[in-house]
Amino acid sequence: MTPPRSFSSVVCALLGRHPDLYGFPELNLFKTDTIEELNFARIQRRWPTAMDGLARTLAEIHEGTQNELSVHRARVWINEHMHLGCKEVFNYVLDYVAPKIGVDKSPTTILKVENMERAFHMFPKARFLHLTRHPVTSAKSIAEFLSVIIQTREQVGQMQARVGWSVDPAFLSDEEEDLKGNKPVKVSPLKLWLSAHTKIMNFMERLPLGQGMRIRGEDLLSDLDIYLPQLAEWLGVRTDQEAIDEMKSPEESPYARTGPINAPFGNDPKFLANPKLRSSKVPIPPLKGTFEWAVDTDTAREIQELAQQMGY
Amino acid sequence: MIHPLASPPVPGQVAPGAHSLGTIAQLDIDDVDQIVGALAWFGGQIYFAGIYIDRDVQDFRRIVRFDPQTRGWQTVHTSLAINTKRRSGPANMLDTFFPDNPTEEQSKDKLTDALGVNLAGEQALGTGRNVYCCLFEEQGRLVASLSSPLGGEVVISAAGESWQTTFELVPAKGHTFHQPVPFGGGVVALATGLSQNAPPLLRGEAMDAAGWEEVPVPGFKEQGNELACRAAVFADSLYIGTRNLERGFQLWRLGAIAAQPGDFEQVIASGAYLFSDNQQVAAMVHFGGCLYIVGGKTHSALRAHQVSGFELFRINADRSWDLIVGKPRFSPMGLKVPFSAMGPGFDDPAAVLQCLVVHEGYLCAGFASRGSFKLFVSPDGEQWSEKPVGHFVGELVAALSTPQGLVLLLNPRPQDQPPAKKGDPLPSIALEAWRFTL
Repeated sequence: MTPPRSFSSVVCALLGRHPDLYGFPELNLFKTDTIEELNFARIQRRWPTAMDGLARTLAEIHEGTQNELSVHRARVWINEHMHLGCKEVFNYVLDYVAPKIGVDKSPTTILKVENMERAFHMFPKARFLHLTRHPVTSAKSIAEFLSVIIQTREQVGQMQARVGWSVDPAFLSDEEEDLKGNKPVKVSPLKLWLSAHTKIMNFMERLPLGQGMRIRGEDLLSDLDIYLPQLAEWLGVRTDQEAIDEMKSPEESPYARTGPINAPFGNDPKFLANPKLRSSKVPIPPLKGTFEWAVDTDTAREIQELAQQMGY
Repeated sequence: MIHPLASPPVPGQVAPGAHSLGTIAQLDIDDVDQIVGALAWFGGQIYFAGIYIDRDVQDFRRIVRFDPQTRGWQTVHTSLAINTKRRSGPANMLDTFFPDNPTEEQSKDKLTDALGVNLAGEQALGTGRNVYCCLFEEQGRLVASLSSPLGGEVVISAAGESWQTTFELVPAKGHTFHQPVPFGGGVVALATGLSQNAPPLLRGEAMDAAGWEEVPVPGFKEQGNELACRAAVFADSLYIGTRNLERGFQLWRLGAIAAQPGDFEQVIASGAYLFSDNQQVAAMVHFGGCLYIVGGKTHSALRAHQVSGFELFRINADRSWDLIVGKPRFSPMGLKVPFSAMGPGFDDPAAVLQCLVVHEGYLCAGFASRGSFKLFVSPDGEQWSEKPVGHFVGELVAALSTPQGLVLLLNPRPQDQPPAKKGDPLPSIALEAWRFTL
């Protein structure tokens, strides 16, 4: 549970490498109730990568490989199962990876409280990990990410055009003015950080004791030997050294590289380009005096209070 | 004026085993904003020291003693501190008394002579929460340490009858302190923070020392600590818990009073890794060979010694710590899971801690939960259960373990009740005293 660009891809891959766990790419299955609704959102929101993670997962579990053909067949499977609920599809992929426990980190989950509640209702015994990152470094990366999204939309649109795909304008609502998807995105990264973490905190507070935990991404990535065993202990999986060592190779995840042209993403592009762990510690910059200029006074105060709650 | 009358318990409200010790009524104070106090067992009798804070101009300090014969409370000591800056009405009380406008220091001297009371400076506004009251037996004497924004004093009595003021300071001229703790061949006390650049600790040769010197704690302020809030001697060391609003409380250990910088050690940092959700240490007690501390979030509506959403920790002799009540968390020391399996505030995140005492082999935590007082007890520090005490509303002012039972002193006026408006009838001030057997 974390906003974009808060180490979620690498942390999900770290967890997913544990022998008892399976790290999925971004499935986005908590965003809607049914696959058809997810597909509609993909089209309506000019969000061509929405089902990349699901297609890659299906290709991987069905055929043990992710290439254009296996992903194509996965997409055919999705089209044939549009009537299924997202929970059914999630259980379908979980059955494939059983007895391993699935790990999902789709950023769309935290965009709305109802998405988080949907996740809880689908899997009432799931553990929820709130992953945090310093608001300033997070905001810088989110700004970068937003520009990448726009570029990605263009690139994917071009790629899809090359393979003969196009968006049916009938699916676009009146609100969608810019069919090319290159309209400037007016989002304040700091406000996005604040909004996302506020929603997550509100959701986490309602969870039973211990079902949700929070960790600073900087701490985890700087001291893997201290925090990975704790994560494993909390999740109730093996904590032996062999299992912990296994976790330290996120680049070995089948979803830690760019996918085929018909499903290239499903994870953060930056992670896909360089999935290896950095050997250096992740610095935590000071909080005060580093962000206030970018937002109004009230927002700055809220960001500071929330960041201090997280230990920044 | 003190009412010696005991109020009868209300049927159905009080649990079996509860006995009324009457009320401590106060009829001569207008517009009381808060009451902070402490109980002590001395010479086989119960004493209560209280500071009644008037919103405008003065603090009444009063020590009373329970008389089992009359079942009433007798006054054994009173004092008064007056603020020269009113919060409402005339801008400056001195202007009221001395319209010829002499210098402020001259006015204070005149008023001090005329009224025979201690006059404080201009610290009242914005510091109303910093009220501390301690009452304890030390070397066969009863000692009271009373401190508010209007000044601090230490009064000592050999037999509980006559009292000698051994230390008196106004914040403008020096540091006021509270919670004196015998340590290192002398006494260490915590600064109230009412004076500028106050060090966290002060040291005197004895409780009746005329002078108190600063004890430097390297790095204390630099790490965002405002104050040392609680202190206790444990395993031959002095432990101090801090108030740190931005980074979360810290627990420091001091091995010796003549400490070198390296002798200070942080036992817990960053609000036990809940950061600003744990801003202040509110209580410390010895129990079962360990030190138990409570941390939580402070708020302007709470007293200086109160926290909400509180967590309970156990400090072991080897300086490791366990989470007893609170949120599970990751930490540099490993996964911390509450041994009681209970979340903050004994599963009530809005609960406000009001006391932590040991009584009859039980560790007892009293807190306000949704307007009612609740008492949880534990025989081992880990397994906790609620002890029914009946339906008490309002605020717990003080708690004390005595050979005759656990004594609780409650102010039935809700803590968050707004003060009466000018012209409205004044609310009655009558603290209710109860004795419980576990």
